[in-house]
Amino acid sequence: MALNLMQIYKLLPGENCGKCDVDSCMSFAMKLLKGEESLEKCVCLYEGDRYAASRTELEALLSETGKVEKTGLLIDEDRCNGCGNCVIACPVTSMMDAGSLSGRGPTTDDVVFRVINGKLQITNLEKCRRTGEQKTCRVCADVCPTDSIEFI
Amino acid sequence: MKILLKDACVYDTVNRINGDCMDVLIEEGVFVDKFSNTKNVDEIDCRGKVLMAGGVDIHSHIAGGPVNVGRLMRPEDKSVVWGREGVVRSGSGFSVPSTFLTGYEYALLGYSFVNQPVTPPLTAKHTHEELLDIPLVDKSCLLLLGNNFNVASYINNGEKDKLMDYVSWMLHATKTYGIKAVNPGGFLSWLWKVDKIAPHEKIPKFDIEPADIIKGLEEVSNRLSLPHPIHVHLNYLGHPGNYEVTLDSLKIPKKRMHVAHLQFNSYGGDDWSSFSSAADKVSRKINQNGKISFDLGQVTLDNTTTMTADSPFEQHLHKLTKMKWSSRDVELECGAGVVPYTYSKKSPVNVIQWAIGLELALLCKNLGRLCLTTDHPNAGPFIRYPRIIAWLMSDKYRQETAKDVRLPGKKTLLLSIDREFSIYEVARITRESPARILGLNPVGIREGGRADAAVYDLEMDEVDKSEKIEEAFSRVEYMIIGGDFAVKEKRVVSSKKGVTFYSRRELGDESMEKEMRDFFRERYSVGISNYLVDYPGIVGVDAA
Repeated sequence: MALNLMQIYKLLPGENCGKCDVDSCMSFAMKLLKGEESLEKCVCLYEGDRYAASRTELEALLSETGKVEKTGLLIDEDRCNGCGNCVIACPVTSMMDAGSLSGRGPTTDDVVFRVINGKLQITNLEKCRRTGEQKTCRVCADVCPTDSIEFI
Repeated sequence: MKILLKDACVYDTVNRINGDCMDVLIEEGVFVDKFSNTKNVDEIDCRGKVLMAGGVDIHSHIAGGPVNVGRLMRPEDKSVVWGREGVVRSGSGFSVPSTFLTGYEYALLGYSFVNQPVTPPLTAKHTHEELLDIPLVDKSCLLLLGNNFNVASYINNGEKDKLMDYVSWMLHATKTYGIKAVNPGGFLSWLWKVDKIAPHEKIPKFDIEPADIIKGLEEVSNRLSLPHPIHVHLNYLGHPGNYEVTLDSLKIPKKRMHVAHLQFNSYGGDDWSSFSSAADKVSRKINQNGKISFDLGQVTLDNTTTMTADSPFEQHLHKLTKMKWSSRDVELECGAGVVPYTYSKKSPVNVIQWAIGLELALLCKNLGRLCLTTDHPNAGPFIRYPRIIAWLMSDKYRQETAKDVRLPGKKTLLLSIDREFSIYEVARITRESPARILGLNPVGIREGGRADAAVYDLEMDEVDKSEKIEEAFSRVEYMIIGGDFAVKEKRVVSSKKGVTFYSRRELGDESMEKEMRDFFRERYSVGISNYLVDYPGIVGVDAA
């Protein structure tokens, strides 16, 4: 299940104290989601045991987001079966390599990701359409049979 | 072979049987009142279970050029895989399944007839070869003529008799069942860089309008007494605010017209940001107009492959999504395009499209004119029919889905419609209506009728539970096609070949064939002998 902003915000103290150098808890939640801030910066959360339960839950949730790429891509390596559907369906691959239009695998290394040793690995994230004009593209996630690709 | 289906709850709209419990007897491929003798009767206990005649799908792209391009282009679609099991062959594919799998999946849904709506004349041979490969169900295919150079020229020059001879010869040459017009004049205009054309705009290089093509082809269809009226994919398909063009187009036919996947032509708003439903306005006109029948083209919110002979629309979709795109110009006849697409639950436009299809069905007053389709695979694969049936039968399920996908309530009327289809009405829109519109003259479940029967594992007291409806309609308990078991205890048990129907024509003289021979030599890249279709397994039916 993809992590969302409200999930994090609800677990934060909500005091808007500003001790973390961010204006509000909502902005801090956004930065946590993007991986721009670390949880330890929230002073209230680590003061005493008042928010102990929330802290443990947040730590567990955010351990996942540590692997999130800047396009929001999160790959679950345990689930990935290396089928390569995402590589072939990716519109960037088809722009680069006409062979993929008739269902063949890519012949170039310039594609966004490739299957290496049976697992999906990112090779050129900067080529992903989400870094450019198609920010909501999620073709790879749509065609994944094991749901191992998520966008956060 | 003798089969006795004991105590089944029969829903047969042709004979107005609404849930009566009765024994259904089958002998030598037909329904009978009494067996000739009582030896070797295969008796099946259907106590309380729902029994219907075989389903008919009026609009489903199951074979031909675009379907094959879709299969090639999308190996990622092959995540659904069936292994070989006894007589059942292997197959794969979700939105564009392989030929064998298509037949098995239709049989499992309780269908026995499928109409392939798009056959570019030049690829008729390929389409027929694929159709003949599809097991269990019977098929037919429609001939694409809406953007044909010859048709446009004959109409332009006012040569009505010649147009009739030409269409008649083409139906004979390609062994097709009826006439289809996809975005009439749209492809001819696109060749001259005109992206979209309304029914009353001039087609470049011709002195005619798309409306003239529809009128001309409708007249030919009537003069030839074809079993199925002209089947039209209207102009401006898939563009926001296209409902006005749709209302204009509905006024064109003089006698009868079938409008394909109306959902795609019932859009309001000025652009994608103000996109809304105009299903109520279109429905009102359809309910008043006795000449129009239509099928839904219901969006099922899945990852699918769009394919149509409306090449300009596919280009538009490609520009919008930047997905893979295949486009083909079929010399002198038409074009075709394929683009993969995901109808996302998170996209407000896709969600409103989902609501429009359901609105059209729920607002339809005469169900004899409505057919259930997803325009497979354009709006969703046909294996989602059970889910659509559940949406139509259960207001609660619709409301739950609307909540789940965050349907913008102000853009559609769906949430205010509380109509729920009965199982009898479902039988009508999946059996009788499409069969009558296709001119198949259904006789239903009565003595002498062809023994196509589907037994669903659904008991009468469960028909108001949406989950149970979807589950039951997804897999028939028993399916009998032509008096033989196709499905037994929810497992496919046969790979028997179905037949393909075409409209048999008596060609008056050989003048058209002679003219076409010269024309082929001059203009076509194939010889006429490679164009004519003639395979065993294609069965001619006479005019209605």
